[in-house]
Amino acid sequence: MMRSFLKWTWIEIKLFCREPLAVFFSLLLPLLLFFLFGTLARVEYLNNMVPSLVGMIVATNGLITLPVQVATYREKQILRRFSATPMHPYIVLLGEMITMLAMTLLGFVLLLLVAKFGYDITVAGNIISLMGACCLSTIAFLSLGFIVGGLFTTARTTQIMGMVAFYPMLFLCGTTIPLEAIGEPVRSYIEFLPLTHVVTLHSGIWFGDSWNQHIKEICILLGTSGASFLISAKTFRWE
Amino acid sequence: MEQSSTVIEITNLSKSYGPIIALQDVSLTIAKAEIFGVVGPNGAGKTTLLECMEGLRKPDHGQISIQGVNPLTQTAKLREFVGIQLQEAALPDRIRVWEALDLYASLYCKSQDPKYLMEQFGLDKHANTPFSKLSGGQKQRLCIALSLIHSPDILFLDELTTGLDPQARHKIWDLLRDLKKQGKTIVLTTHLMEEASELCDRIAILDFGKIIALDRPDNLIQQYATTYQVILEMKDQSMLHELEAFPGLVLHQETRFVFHFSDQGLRDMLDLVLRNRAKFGAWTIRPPSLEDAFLKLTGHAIREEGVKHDA
Ligand SMILES: Nc1ncnc2c1ncn2[C@@H]1O[C@H](COP(=O)(O)OP(=O)(O)O)[C@@H](O)[C@H]1O
Ligand SMILES: [Mg+2]
Repeated sequence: MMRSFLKWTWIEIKLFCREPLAVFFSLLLPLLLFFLFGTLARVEYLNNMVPSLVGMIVATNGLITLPVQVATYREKQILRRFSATPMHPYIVLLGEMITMLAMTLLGFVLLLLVAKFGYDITVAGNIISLMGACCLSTIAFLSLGFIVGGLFTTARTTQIMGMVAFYPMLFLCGTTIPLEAIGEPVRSYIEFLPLTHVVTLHSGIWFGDSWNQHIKEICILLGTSGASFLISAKTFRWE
Repeated sequence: MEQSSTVIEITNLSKSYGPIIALQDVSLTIAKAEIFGVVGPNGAGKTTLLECMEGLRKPDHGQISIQGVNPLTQTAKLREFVGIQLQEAALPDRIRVWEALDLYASLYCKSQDPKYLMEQFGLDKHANTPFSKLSGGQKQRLCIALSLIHSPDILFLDELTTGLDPQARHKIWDLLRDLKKQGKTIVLTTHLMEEASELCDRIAILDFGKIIALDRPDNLIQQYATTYQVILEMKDQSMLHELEAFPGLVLHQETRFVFHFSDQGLRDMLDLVLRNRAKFGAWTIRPPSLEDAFLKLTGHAIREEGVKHDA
């Protein structure tokens, strides 16, 4: 069973890399944005860019790429075909999740490399902690993605609904507009959006905070993961 | 081959989707190494019947036993000796042929060599082709190969040749005949009458979820289809009056005549044509077909797809 799980995950990674749109939005677009800001903005501002762009990658993969992929598998009866084999379709979804986690980390590492070698920006914080924060954030968003991916029959609707969830978060959670620039009344709502905590956690660790200083974000992201997995297990449509 | 060992037994199977009755009191048995066809128009319940046998759908009533295994409660056991091809080809677009075979091979305790299957199914030249770039026939052959990867005893194939050209279809029929020779039992659905009568040992005709006939194709034809069609070209006008007065005429267009006959009428017509051979051009006799039997049994042609379903 382990062998087929690994095989499937490896195939999923290859499938991801063969999908130009997924590669563009998950891996290349954040780099392009970084280059764009790199030529426009001052270096102090660039330093803030990496945590924001990580938030963007995490949210894209969790709210759009993963749900669309899952909905496509359902729409094309791929999940049903697997349920006609000894491999449980849960394994299919797990492979999907591992793939997206790996791809998010890859996007993150590419971003770090570009920051370091392109603009000589180095991380003040601990790189391992940063990776850990990235994993935690990704898992929280992928689990949200299973809710989105499990609700609608077609991949097309799923994509639209994913975007409906994605764009407000992108603009409100400090990924595009700094949190400080957003007025008080809206800010209290922003607290409810998980992406806010992803960006806060990443910025903190990026500038050298320890995990202890971010217990709140960690708990919120862990809670989001747990709750979303439970919800998606209840609401997921297999066909 | 008749009444050897029974491998599939279905009794009083019923299934509804809300108000839609998909299967009504279906009972049948299928013997080892039989090619069994489930025939009927779209929406007749063919897929539902197959998927109940595959353990993918839960019937409302009735029993199913596949080599003594209950598909719902002993699903894991069933998976080991049953091969399945769903109505829709279900693979990711960009997966390569060898990847799909290699993955499926890893799902079972014992499985056939993917290379051997690729050769056997004429896919070896396409090992690196993405699924979406395969032709319809190649896709179907890959799906059959995948369903055979663990050498199952029983194969379920849903609308396997729909949308294929005749050449690709004949190639698949040959493959299935080979599998039958190896002792595999094959249950397939089709709405092609030609496929049912050429390939299947027995067929069940399904209409609105009920089996309305179940027999060998030749028996069904003999029992329900008795009409021969004769098409005849006249060379000159000398036989015009005789032909126009001939009983059984259904169509007359200029020099072309079409007749429908039972045995006696056919004898008289053959007599007439053979005695006056020089006066006629091309002529053909079409024997009664399964399509005619279907029409007789259901009162509608199979191609009027899924009509009057709420009746
Ligand atoms: N999952 C489903 N939900 C609701 N109705 C369904 C479902 N699957 C099939 N049906 C309906 O049940 C009937 C039989 O369908 P099906 O078994 O697919 O027939 P066939 O394979 O002969 O075309 C059709 O009227 C179809 O619309
Ligand atoms: Mg069908």
